[in-house]
Order: sequence, then C-alpha cells, then structure tokens
Amino acid sequence: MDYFWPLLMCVALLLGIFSGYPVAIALAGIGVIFAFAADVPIIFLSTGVSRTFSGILSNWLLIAVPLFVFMGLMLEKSGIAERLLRSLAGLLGPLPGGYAFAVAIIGIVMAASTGIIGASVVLMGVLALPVMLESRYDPKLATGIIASTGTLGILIPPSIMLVVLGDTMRISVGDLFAGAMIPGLMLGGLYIVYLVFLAIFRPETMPPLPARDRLPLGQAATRLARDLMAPMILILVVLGSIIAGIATPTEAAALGALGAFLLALASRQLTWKQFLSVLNETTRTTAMIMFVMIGATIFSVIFRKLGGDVMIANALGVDEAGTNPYWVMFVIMAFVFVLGMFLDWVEITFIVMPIIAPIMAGLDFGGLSKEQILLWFAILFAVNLQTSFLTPPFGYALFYIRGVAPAEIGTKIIYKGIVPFVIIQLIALLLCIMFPQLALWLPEQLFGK
Amino acid sequence: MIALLKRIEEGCAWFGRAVGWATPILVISVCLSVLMVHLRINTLFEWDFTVPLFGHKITMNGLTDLQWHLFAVMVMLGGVYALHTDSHVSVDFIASNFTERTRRIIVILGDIIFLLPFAAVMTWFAWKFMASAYLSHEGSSYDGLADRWIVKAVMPLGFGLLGLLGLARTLRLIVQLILTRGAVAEKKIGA
Repeated sequence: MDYFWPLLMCVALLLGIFSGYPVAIALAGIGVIFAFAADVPIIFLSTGVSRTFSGILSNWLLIAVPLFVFMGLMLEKSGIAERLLRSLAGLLGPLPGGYAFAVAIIGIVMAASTGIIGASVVLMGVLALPVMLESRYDPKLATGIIASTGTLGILIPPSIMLVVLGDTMRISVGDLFAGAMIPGLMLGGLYIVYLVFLAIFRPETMPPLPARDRLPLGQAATRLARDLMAPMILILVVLGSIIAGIATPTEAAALGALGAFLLALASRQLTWKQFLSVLNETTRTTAMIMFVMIGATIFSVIFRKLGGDVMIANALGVDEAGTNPYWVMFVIMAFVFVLGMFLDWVEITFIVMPIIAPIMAGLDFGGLSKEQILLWFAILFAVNLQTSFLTPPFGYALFYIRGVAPAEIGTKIIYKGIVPFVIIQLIALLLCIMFPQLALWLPEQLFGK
Repeated sequence: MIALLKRIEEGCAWFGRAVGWATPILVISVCLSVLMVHLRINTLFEWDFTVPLFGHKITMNGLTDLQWHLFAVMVMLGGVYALHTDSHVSVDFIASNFTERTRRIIVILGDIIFLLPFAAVMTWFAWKFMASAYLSHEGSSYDGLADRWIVKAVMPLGFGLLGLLGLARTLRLIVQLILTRGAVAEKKIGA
C-alpha cells in the first residue's frame, strides 16, 4: 500500500471533524500524532512552528481580517440594517413583493459590509422574517430569500474569505475583489429578477405590507437617502481604494473600521458594553480563523511528507495524458461542493486549497494563463461554496435560518423554499464556468493584465 | 479541586479577553501609517534612551512591525480564549444528536489525543524558536522594531497556555464525570 499513511490520516481527520471536536485542534493533533506514528523526522514538526510564525503571525495582509470583522460588527451594532430596512420597506412596501425586494437589496449591502454568512443570515432572519410572515408572505419564499442573500457575503467584496483565499493562493486581493464583483452582482441581480417574476405571475406569494408600516413617499425617500448614503460611501471607499490600487486591503480595512466606528458613534446606539463585546467577538473570530490556518499548516506539512499530495493528484488522474481539464475541474468542484455541506469555508480554504490550487493551475484551459486560471478558479470556488451552503439537507445558511425562524416554520418549508435559489446559484455557476470572462474581465480592465 | 481547575482555566483565558484591546490599537496604528505615508513622514518619535522593543525611535517600519506584533498576540492568546469559550469552529450536525455525557467524553478524548500532544510539541519547538531569536539578538533589518524574541515569545506562551487550559479542562471534566456518574447537570463545556 503506497498511500497507507495519507489515507489513514484522511480517515482520522474525518473522525476528528465529525466528532464535533474543534476542527483546528483536531487538524494539528492529527499532524503531530502521525508525525510520531509514521516516524517522520522531528524536524518537520519544527517547520510547523516557523511556518506558523512567518506565514500567519507575521503576515501583514492577514491583519485585514480582524479589521474587516471589526468593521462589520460595528456596522451591525450601529443599527444601520434596521434603519435601512425600515426606510426601504416604507418606499417599496406598498408594492406586491416590495418588502422582498427591500430584503434582497439590504441582504446584498449587508453582505458587502460584514462578509460573515452566519451574521447576516441571523440578522435578517431576526429583523425581516417576522414582518414578512405577518404580512402573509409565502414562508418558503421568505426564508429562501433571507438565506440566499445572506450567503452572498462570502462572494461580494470586501469578503473575508476572499482576503484569506488571496493569501492562500498567492493572488492579489485587489484582483480577487475585482473578479468577484460581476459574479456577485450578477447573482444578486438574478435573485431580484426571480422576485420580479414572482411579483408579476404569482403576486399572492408576496402581498404588500399592511398600511401602518407605510411611509409617505417623500419622507421614505429622504430617510433612505440618509440611511443608505453613509454605509454605501464607506463600502465604496473601502472597495474602491483596494480595487484602484491606492490602498492595500489592510489599510483600506483600517480606514473602513474607523469609519464604521464613527458611524456607530453617530447613530448614538453604541453602548460601552456593546463596544467591549465587539472587541471580544473580533478577537474570537480572528483567532478561530487563524487557528484553523495553524492546524491546517501542521496537518499539511506531515500530509505532504507522507505523500498525500501525490495521492490526491493521482486520484484526480492529472498525470495521465489526455485527461479532460473540465473533467478534473468537475471532480474538484463536486468534491468542494460536498465538503461545503459539512464544513465552513475556513476549513475548506485552508485544507483543500493548498492541495488543489497547483493542480488547477497546471491544467490547460485553451489559452488562459496560470494566473488567470487561479483567479477564475478562486471565483468559481467561492460561488460553488456559496451554493453548497444553501443546499439541503446540510447547508450552513439553512441551519442559521432554522435557528431564528419561529417553530411553526418547519425544516421542510425551509428546504422547499431554498430550491429555486439553489437553481439560480447553479445557473450562475454554470455561466461562470462557461464564460471565464465574467470573473476575468473587470480585473483585466482595471489592472491591464 | 474543581474550583481550582476552573480558576486555572479562567486564568489562561484571561489573556485572550485582554487582547481585545489590540483591535482598536491596530485600527489607529494602521490609519496612522496611512497618514504618515501621505504626509511623507518616516520617523514619528525619537528619544535618547533605549526602550526594549522600540529601541530609540518609532519609524514607519516600526509601526508596520507593531501592527503584526499586535496581530500575533491577538491570534495566539485569542486562540486560547476561543477554546475556553468553545467558539472554535466545529462540525456539530452529528454531535448535536449525542447526549451531554457523550459530548463530554469526546472533549476529554480530543483533549488527550489531539490538544495535549499538539500543545506540548508546539510549545517545545516554539520555545527553541524564541530562544534562538533571543540569543542572536534578532531584530528588524530595515529600521523597524528591535528585539524580535518578544513577539516570538507569544508562541510558546500561547501554545503553553493552550496546553495548560486543555489539561485543567480535561481533569475537571473527568472528575466531574466520575463525581456525577455521568448525570451531567451543567450544559456548558467551558468553565
């Protein structure tokens, strides 16, 4: 058996992960145990320490992660989402499906600002779901729209996942942000098209809001302008400066964090206690992401030493001449999709990406350069994971929405409601596969690559 | 006994609670560097005596170094805190069907099989890593912060605290399991 140790490592990893024990520690622990069990020279474990230091702790780019987390939490605590929803609903509420549009639009804006799927799904679930159910929306549609717009956060920049992905795959974060813009907005657009379609052909699924929640048109418009302006400017400045290459992601994130803090102060809703809890949560979220990275570093040092990377490449049939590159990609994407049902993006990015990115880069997709393939693949990866988070029975976003929905909304309703959105996701994914330019065009225009 | 172990766990996690303050300092410091770049200032402060870590001035590169130093502290000590508060990512769609007792046994096994060997090995190597930086007086070679061993010390500290926390937690869970004969009253795993 050539691949005895790496196979055993995979089995141990599956057991460790599904036991419910913290994934980061399980990864690192398995690395250490197998180093001893398979008699790997002890020096390989000490590279775990030096790589943790040079690749993670002293990595200036990754500082953007706590800064973006802080920014998102600050925007959330400043109550911007609530106010936006109220004024948008005031404006669109009288129309059939108006509230659903409001939820979709805010979902997209919030996705851009927080970049954490759990946070935006839960927030919208708490804010918007009761209102939608009260005005007799079809519960399937209500939960579906919240779950799907909430998960856009991993795709629409400034997404934390894209920062981390850029670091792992050695692609510039500016390129990734620019590349994700069109697919992200396209998805948001497709959701809205679907809502328009429903509003026209099946208006009974999304009735107008009751009259008491309506605002006079003029008042609603001014409120909207005031509430939407500040966060939109903040997000555009942060994104714009990264994409235009004026600021590094870390610098832009720090300015965004400062701006979000000032907005929260200005809203007069920020208490000292909330501020402390934001600091606390920022530390925990950052450490949680980075510890998976540390664990994956130690795991993969030993996994590679024992031949695991060769095993994976062989399993994908990369070395055989005449392997269709699209077949390899399909297998990888299917694999990532299945993983996405059980694992969060953090683990998948750190465990799987370092192994499959070089394989993808080595394939021939009719004239695309290595850099282009990696960038394209990173975007496909993000859209794919997002789809996977929405797919029953294990989609992450569905668990979150289940957690905040009232008890009479059964799991079955949530599962049924998400189906049209999963289909939209698959269409978008297919489009991105067929037309790599969807991801590559904007970075090319901006950076002339 | 249980109270003592809980005190140890709290103590290990305290550091992580404190490093929450790294975030605002980080925000200010990065904003300050952006400002310095645009105003073309290189040296922010200078003084005559030598301060550990900073030497005798704060430069642009010193500020950049300070930022990742803060980040390193935040990750390592925050990781210990996250273990304490049970906020590390875990996959619980199977585990949520387990009884409280089974879940605690898994934590004990995981601590013994995964956490303790990992923390011990990493603490040991991280200690040597730091010691070699200390002995060679490693510092920034581009006018940044001096005394690189200080930031490297956060690794043995973090991994060490992680191990200590794991040890105290495992002992406490085992004692509790024996005392209660498996009938667990408390739901929370962390102290």
